[in-house]
Amino acid sequence: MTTVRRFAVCVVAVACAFGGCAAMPTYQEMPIAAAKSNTQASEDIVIAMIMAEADADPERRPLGSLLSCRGDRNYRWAGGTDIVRTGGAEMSEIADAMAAAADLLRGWRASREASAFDAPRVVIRADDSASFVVTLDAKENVIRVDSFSPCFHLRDDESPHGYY
Amino acid sequence: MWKGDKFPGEDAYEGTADLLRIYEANDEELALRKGREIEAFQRGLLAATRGTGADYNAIGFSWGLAGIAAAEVAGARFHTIVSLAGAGMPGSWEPQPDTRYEHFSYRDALGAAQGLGLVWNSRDPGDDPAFTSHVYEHEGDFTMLLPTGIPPTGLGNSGGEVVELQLNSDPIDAHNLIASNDPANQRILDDVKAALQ
Repeated sequence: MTTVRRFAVCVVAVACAFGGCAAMPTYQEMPIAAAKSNTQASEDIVIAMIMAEADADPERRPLGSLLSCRGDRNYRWAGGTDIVRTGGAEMSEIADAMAAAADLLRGWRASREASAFDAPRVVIRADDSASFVVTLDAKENVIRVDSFSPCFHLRDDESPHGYY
Repeated sequence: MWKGDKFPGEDAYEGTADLLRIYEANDEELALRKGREIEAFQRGLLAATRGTGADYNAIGFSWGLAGIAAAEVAGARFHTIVSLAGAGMPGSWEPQPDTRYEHFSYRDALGAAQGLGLVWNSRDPGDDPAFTSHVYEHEGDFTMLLPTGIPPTGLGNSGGEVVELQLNSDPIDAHNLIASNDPANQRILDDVKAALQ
């Protein structure tokens, strides 16, 4: 009988070949407000997909923050919406349906996953590198949408510190 | 956050890691010394927060887990210990019956070394039954099946076996990702939060 042994090896040479040694990226300059509004516009689509399956009460977090990207003064805006489910489909059904719907959108790729503790989860990545992580907590009846803009270069007259 | 003195391979002037001194990460005495310092730090926290009903949790990234496990050897106690791609535990470490142990990782460079038995004499959180292990898929993952009789490392591969290699095309970035705020790591951040609730 064939035995399968599991190993992992470090292939540093391959790492360089696959981009680990790539040059620092450059990003388009953008006002923070534009990064936020663009991301929230896409987030609205995610929320609509959830609301199509569930009776729910969404509450957008009014402020987000900036997370650093590679390179000098490169950031992404991060924010999100918390949705209390009041009825409709079960959480796993909502996750299945919205993952399928998101995957049909041009420029979006969705994967249906589960958390380490078996909560349904959907991860959406857009071609422009915006991304959305949707975690559905059946115990608390809360759906958490975490949204991230693409990386952008921060204007000289704006600060990365604070909440936006 | 606790960070006391230099960590293995750390340049004293620049604060950067010198990969040529990576062997220091396997120095058990160094970990036990850090463990005693962390235990003393926890005693200070206990004195400051006694009676508040606070939970005492510890999260160790990479070698940091060795320091936390060593702190348990020194007498520290935690409600939950989270390993973020944790390196390993000292030989004298024993899991505590009232502590929850969770291990999170990607397929990364450290996991590669652990798979080859090169880290902490194979006493690592991904294999220790005290830890519940969660290994996440990530962009760049791939699996390579090597045919029988071609040992990739020369370590213990006998004839008649197929070796399944769990790889990532960027093993260093995959290791560092788990301690980052990158959106690709949001899944693990959410799960760590759930583990601590």
